[in-house]
Amino acid sequence: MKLLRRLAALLLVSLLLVPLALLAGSVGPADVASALADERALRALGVSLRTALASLLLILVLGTPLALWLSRATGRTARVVEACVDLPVLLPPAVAGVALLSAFGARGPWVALFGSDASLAFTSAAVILAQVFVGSPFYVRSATEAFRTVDAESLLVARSLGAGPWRAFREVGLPATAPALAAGATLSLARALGEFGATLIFAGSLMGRTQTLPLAIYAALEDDLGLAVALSLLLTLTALALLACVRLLVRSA
Amino acid sequence: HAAFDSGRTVSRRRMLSFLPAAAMGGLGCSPSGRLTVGAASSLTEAFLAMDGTETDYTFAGSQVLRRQVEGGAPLDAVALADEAHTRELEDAGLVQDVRAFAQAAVVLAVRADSPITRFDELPNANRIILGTRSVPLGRYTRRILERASSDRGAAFGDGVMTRVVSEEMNARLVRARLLSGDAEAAFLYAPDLAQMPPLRRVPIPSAYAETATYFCALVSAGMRQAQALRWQRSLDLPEQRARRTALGFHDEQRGRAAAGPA
Repeated sequence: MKLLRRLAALLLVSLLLVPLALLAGSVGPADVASALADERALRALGVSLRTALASLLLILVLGTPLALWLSRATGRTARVVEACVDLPVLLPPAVAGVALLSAFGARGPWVALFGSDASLAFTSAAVILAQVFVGSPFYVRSATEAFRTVDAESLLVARSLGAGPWRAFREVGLPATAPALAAGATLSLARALGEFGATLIFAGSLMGRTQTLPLAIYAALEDDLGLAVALSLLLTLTALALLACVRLLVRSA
Repeated sequence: HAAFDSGRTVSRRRMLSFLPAAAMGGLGCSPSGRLTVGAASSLTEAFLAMDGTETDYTFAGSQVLRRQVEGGAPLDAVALADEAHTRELEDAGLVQDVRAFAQAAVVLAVRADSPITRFDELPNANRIILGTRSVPLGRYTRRILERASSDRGAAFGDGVMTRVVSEEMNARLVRARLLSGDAEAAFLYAPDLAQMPPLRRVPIPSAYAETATYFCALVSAGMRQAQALRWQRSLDLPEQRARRTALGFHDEQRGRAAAGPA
């Protein structure tokens, strides 16, 4: 029994680690350097960084008030909204792409309201919307949980000492929840950076405009497998670097 | 330096062996049974209408099918939409009995409600979709645009390219973007435009025109060679030719001598 258990664990761990090790092993620094010299890689990296950071900003700005409300509200509406916020985690990204296209594409209500020039399909905004769609639940969920743990009394004390609601949140609530917020933001950023299916469907793939690193990997599979492998490593390094930045920022804050 | 190069080649080959296999998705690798044919997406109706019920088709961009054959995917025959990808496979010894069997004109299609009526108005299109640089449709399209640019000036080609919003991986995805209304103009194969009321054909000046030639070939490592040969021959049957003609294909105009000894 013990042996079987260990074997099962070993199998799963190898499935997780061996392909990544092979990926890292099959490309040398020289390959990554030559991939970086490729125009496609540089422009995809630019698109990825721009859109993922914009998505993260949107998620923080829109997600924090939502999480605050979800953590304080007790009504049925709040529970329903909380369940809905989690929905994108369960949905396949392809479904998200089709849904976004129906909402903001040529046949959607957005275009009906604002005219065909306002269609968001194939724009940078489409890339960002897709990333916010799939990425935001991670931040909102962990921020909601974190805000729930903040002692309501200490916030009240802060306010009774004359602090406004925002200052009480900033000086009492935020420090206590920072690690959880950072963890949530990190997950959201990673998910945004890796977004593929919804972006491909909703934003299309055009070098320098909507082609993010994951889309560039997919495109490179067609004609330059070496580039695809190097790009994969580049995306891994980019994700690690961004995640390190988020952690550092939070620690210093 | 040489050692580094060979190391890279090996690692690439290793990647080649599993990446396309992963991309094959539902294709099983049962050694016996049904014939499996990989075909350019624009051949979907032409092939699905064939009587051979004993055949499984997988439709994709020709460049994807080429990668699958290179990666050892369990295909018995392929039908690709250009000579370049077919020749690459033939030169690598991966396919044999290469033969051109049909052609299709590359046409400019716009949404029926588009104000565009002439080819030289193409830079006015709001959103244009192209095929990628690897997919045959994308290659034919770029040749048309190159000719138009060298004739009308580079501003024409640049004007078109600034209106391009996405590059799609096969001819059917290009058409889908046009049918959904998310794009205004795209280059398509003539059969893909036939009987599509939301779309309208804009004539391409004959000096720029391109015609796609479809090639079929047997995969050398295929498990069902006799069946594959029978399938390839069935493409020449009068009823198959008539079916393709009805769909908007036409018969190949020129013979092609297979390169190399059989």
